[in-house]
Amino acid sequence: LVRAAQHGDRDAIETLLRQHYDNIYRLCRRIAGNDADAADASQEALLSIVRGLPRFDGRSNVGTWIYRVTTNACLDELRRRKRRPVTGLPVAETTAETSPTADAIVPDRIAIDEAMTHLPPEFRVAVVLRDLCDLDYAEIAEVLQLPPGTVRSRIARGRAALARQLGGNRSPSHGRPRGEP
Amino acid sequence: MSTPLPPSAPDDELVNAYLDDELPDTDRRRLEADPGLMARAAELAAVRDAIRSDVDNPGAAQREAAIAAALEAAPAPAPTPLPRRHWPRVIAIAGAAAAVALAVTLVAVTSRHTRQSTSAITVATSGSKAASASEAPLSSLAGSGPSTTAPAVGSAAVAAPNAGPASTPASAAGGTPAAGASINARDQLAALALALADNGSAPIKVCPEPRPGARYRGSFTWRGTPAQLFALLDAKTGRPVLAIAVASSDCHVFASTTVG
Repeated sequence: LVRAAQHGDRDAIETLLRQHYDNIYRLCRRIAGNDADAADASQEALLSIVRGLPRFDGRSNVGTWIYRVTTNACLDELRRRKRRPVTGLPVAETTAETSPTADAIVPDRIAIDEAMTHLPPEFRVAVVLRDLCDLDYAEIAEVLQLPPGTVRSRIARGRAALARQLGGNRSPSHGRPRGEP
Repeated sequence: MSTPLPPSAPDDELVNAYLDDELPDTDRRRLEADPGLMARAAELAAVRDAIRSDVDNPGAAQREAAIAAALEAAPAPAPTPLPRRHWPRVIAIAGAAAAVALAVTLVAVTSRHTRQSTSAITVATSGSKAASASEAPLSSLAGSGPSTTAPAVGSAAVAAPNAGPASTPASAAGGTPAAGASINARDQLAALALALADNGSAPIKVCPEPRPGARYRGSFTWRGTPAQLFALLDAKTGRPVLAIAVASSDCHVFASTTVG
């Protein structure tokens, strides 16, 4: 599939993009912190993937390469966002008329987005690649082109900062618990 | 972009590695025996689970629009290469048929060679004495570009080309020739001279016994494209041809001349 896509086969490119689009968007959503920037970043990521495919040398897994391209697109989007005014929705407007389920979920989502926004991007990316994309430390090191020890440190410090941020704002029982290793 | 964060608490890296299943068994057992570290692990696990949850997938319309826009930006498809599986059979048939044709050529040319003293392009010769004699006119052709002087028939495998128009089409002046493009006699000679010349890489091997199907030149640059020179069989006429092929992504013959 990848080889065909590299040779410009439209069907192969489309299949590849469809396979990875949801993960790309979710990664962008967590790093960018809002839907609008996530949409922009994921669109840029798709364009970068399509344009960069002929140069993909196959030394890494294509999924890892896509995460690397996506991460760079997200970081570029964050840099662009710094140069333009932020137009976020006020919390009260978002939660004014919502169902009971939404009442429970929306504040937590906002709290997570808020906490993520306060996390410096280099820590945010490492944490999101681990917790959302489920990459191991070696894969994250490959995506970010960093030593594994740096990845380990950034994840630890990033999670600790998020724990401090979320400590007073969010019910710790909300997250879907997963089995410990 | 780097913004300092406070250093993590002691053992935080250990606890995170435990959560991420990146901890050796010995450290894992030590950590699990420590209630304080396990409490910290539970706290950080809640953070991890919060990040994992609560991310909606994009809507279908957004997904379709994004993919469509990306496809519009996709580069044009590369030319379809010839199926690789055909090549070994083509070359084998070409080799066998060319062997016969070249043997006939060898006999005919050798007998004529006794009457003719000129020779220009020789790939294979029947002896070392003939080989050294054949190299002199080659060096005079090397790097000279298209020549209007058609050399006489060589002594063995590669004879003077007899195909193609008298002049080069303007569209064939440079770049990568199109598939199936014909080549005129003058340019064919120029390509042969280039292929046969010792232009810094290994010179063409002088074969005591012509072996059709073999490559006569591993690589050289023809019209800006890495190329190879070898004998094949023309599928339509059944006659051996001297082929110049590029072999970058596939074996793509773009010029050939009938031999003999």
